[in-house]
Amino acid sequence: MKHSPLLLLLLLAVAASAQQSKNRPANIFLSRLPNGLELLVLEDHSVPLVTIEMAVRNGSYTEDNEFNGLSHLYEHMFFKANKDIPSQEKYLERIQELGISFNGTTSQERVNYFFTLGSKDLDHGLRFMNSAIRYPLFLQEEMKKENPVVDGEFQRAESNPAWALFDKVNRKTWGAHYSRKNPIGDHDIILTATPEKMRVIKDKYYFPDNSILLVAGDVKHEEVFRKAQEVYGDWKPAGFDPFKRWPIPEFEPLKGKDSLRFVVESPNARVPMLLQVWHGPDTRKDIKATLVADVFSYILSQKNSKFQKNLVDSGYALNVGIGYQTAKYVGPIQVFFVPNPGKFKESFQALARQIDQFDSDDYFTDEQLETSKIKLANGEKFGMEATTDYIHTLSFWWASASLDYYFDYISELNKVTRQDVQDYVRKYIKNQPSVAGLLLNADMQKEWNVTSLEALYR
Amino acid sequence: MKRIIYIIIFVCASAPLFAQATKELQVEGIKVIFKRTDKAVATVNLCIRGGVTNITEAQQGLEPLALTIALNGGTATINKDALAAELEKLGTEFGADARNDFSYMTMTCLRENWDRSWALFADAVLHPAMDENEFKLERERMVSNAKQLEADPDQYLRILATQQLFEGTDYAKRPGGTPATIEKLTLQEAKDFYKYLLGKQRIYLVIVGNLDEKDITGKVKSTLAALPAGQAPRAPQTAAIKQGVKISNRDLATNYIVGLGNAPKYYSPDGPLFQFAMSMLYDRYFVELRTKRSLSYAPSAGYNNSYIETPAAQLYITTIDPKQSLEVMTAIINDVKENGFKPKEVENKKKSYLTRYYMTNQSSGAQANVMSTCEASGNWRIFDEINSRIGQVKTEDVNRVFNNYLTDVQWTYLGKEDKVTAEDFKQPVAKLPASNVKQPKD
Repeated sequence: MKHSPLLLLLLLAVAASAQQSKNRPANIFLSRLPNGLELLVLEDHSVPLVTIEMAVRNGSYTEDNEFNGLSHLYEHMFFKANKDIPSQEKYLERIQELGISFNGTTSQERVNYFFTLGSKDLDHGLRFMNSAIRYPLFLQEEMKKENPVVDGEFQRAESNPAWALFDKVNRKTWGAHYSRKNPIGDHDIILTATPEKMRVIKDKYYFPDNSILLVAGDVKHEEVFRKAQEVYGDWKPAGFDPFKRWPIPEFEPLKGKDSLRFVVESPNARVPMLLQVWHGPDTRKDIKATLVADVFSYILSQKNSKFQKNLVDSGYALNVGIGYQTAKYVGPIQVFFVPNPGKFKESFQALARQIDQFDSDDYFTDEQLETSKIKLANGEKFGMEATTDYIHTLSFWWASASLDYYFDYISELNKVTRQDVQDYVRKYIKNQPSVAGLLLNADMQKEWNVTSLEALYR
Repeated sequence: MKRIIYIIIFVCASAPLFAQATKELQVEGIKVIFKRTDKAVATVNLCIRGGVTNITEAQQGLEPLALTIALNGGTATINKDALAAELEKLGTEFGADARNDFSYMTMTCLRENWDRSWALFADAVLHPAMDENEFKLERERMVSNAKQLEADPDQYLRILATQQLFEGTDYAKRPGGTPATIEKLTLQEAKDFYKYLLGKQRIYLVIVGNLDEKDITGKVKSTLAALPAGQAPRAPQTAAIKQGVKISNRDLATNYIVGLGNAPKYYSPDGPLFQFAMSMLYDRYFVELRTKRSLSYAPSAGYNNSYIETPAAQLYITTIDPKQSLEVMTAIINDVKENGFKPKEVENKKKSYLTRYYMTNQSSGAQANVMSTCEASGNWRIFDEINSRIGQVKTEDVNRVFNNYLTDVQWTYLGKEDKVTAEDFKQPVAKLPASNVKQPKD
């Protein structure tokens, strides 16, 4: 039997993927087209649907101040006119004809677009995605209409009093490169955006060798790989690594102490809230610590942990949690803390005491360490239940770590030791500079006589 | 014609997947709705009928507080720390909440941990310790959450809207409580109330998972069957939606508007039809308000079934131009009333409706929640039948229900008060005689 050159290329691509993690679930299949487009197929035959997602390594981390918010605006323009569909109205008509549920998201390190439709319409869906990802028109008139819509999304976020807290903490945390962690962007940049700026983004990041196509649902992987080659095979690769050509600048380490603690006042706040942030590890420089970070956060989330017992059960906090967001470029470690109004003044010192003990030998038990790993593993099983959502989890890890990182995630977590946790705490949290903001309204500030957050911690 | 055949095939081909083996069982006086699936996760909802009719005004917040501390405060034989530790190791989650028409205690677990998870859940339900410290902590958390709701403009808008609509009736009570009512609740009240709630005439179970019917029957018999008969709840008072406007001032980056209009009950034949019609109105709002006019990021229209005896057509927008938005929102409704939805719109919507249906019901938890609501709305079978009912929808029926019900709207506004006057809040045209509605064209 003779193989065509194309088929040989495909076979080579599949063979290459076979070298990857042995922990990959049996219903997930990987491949890569010759143009560099990565392919992931997740077979789930429980409902007659297919979700087609295209994820691109783009997002606010690629934005300087002049472009802040435009990866997100670009995401909106994806759902408009392209070479094959002349206007957004026609685009929406086609969406309705195919019975598609659609959306897109923009975060710091990933932009993704996804359609869910009947699995019988796989071919239509793949072609519909192809037209939108490769051939957007960025019509002036459509952009003029979309700019205020995107700004409206921003205004909704700003209408929540917690926004003022999150935004100020983020500005202080990321300093000169705040734009790189702020996907929603800047009002003026959004409202004055032009098609030319959209083309700049496209020509930097929207290439097959900077993207992954994920197809999940009631499909057969061989068929998807074949169709993907047919539809996307002639998409020209960039031939360059955009992150080498336009490197992401490194964040300045946090410095000082007092200037990083502040009170944020909002007339609409009803409950005091504290957000404290440290620069954490990332998947470029300290992969192991990114795993340890998750184990540590899950130890502290357990109801019987010292963290919960000494803060919540003791009546200092109504709610407290710690989390780490995995990232390629400095993942933040965040403590979110709702002080109990009944013990408002003492609560901050109580929090500081806990942080100070994070690395002590008896801060958690061996059982809690193991439970943390079990909780993380079980969380993955729960996450796999809804395939149309799980596919976004996969593209997140693809962008901010790697697929192999994710497939090996649970087995690597299981290797984390007490010493690893202590090393992580000492390197990234304890006695390390952090940013902390406290949200209050004027009445609370007066009632508790708050003049400085630093003073509350002392 | 081709299109219609295609849709029927789609519906028939998919039907067995979700219609697989949902059964209603009666186990010693307890109704059990069991849906077998092949997924790795199992969910149990123990639902309690009555909702806001179970409480007085002063007891707002008591139901979720009592249920939560029952589940989280340990049992007669396992203290709360030991219970929490075991649940975390199993990956099993307990939760409780109260809605307007029913409340529930829920347990979600991995299939492999079903036996032990059920045992712990049943023990917590039947023999709760109702721990004093847990009670105080939960009460404080609930006060904080109730205040937090008022800070969130979306949530506060809905509170304002329902206060206006249901004033003086059962549904004006907030099941989650207000800061003032929650603060006054006591542990003894919670204990007494819990006993009063847990009776066979008031509860039903919804169980979804890769489980065995005999096993479920045996488990219910050996545990929850010990509950007393109790009393069936009374029905809530209903409210008629009347024209009205409430404007509340808050300095926000954008302005929030919700309109509630008349709608048929979900358990009536017109209910699912009207829900279908509202999802088409959503598409029209999206195209006209967002795409063509850039008036909003988030216009929407839908069918709000969270007050079962007074369901509502819900119109919603956030916008910096409320005057124009209100005008267009009403004009779109009037256009549909005048000209009807088109047959092509109806046929396309059938496909996207099914897509959404399957998408939102992938997890056992989501299926259990929808069936719990369907049962509280009159019959859990609505969940399984909805596919075939939607497959048979005719354009003229959709236009009839839309025209008949969506007549009066109560508007609520939260934002800069100088941006609007009461006159800006338009009303749709009154019901048109069927003969006046123009024949829609494809």
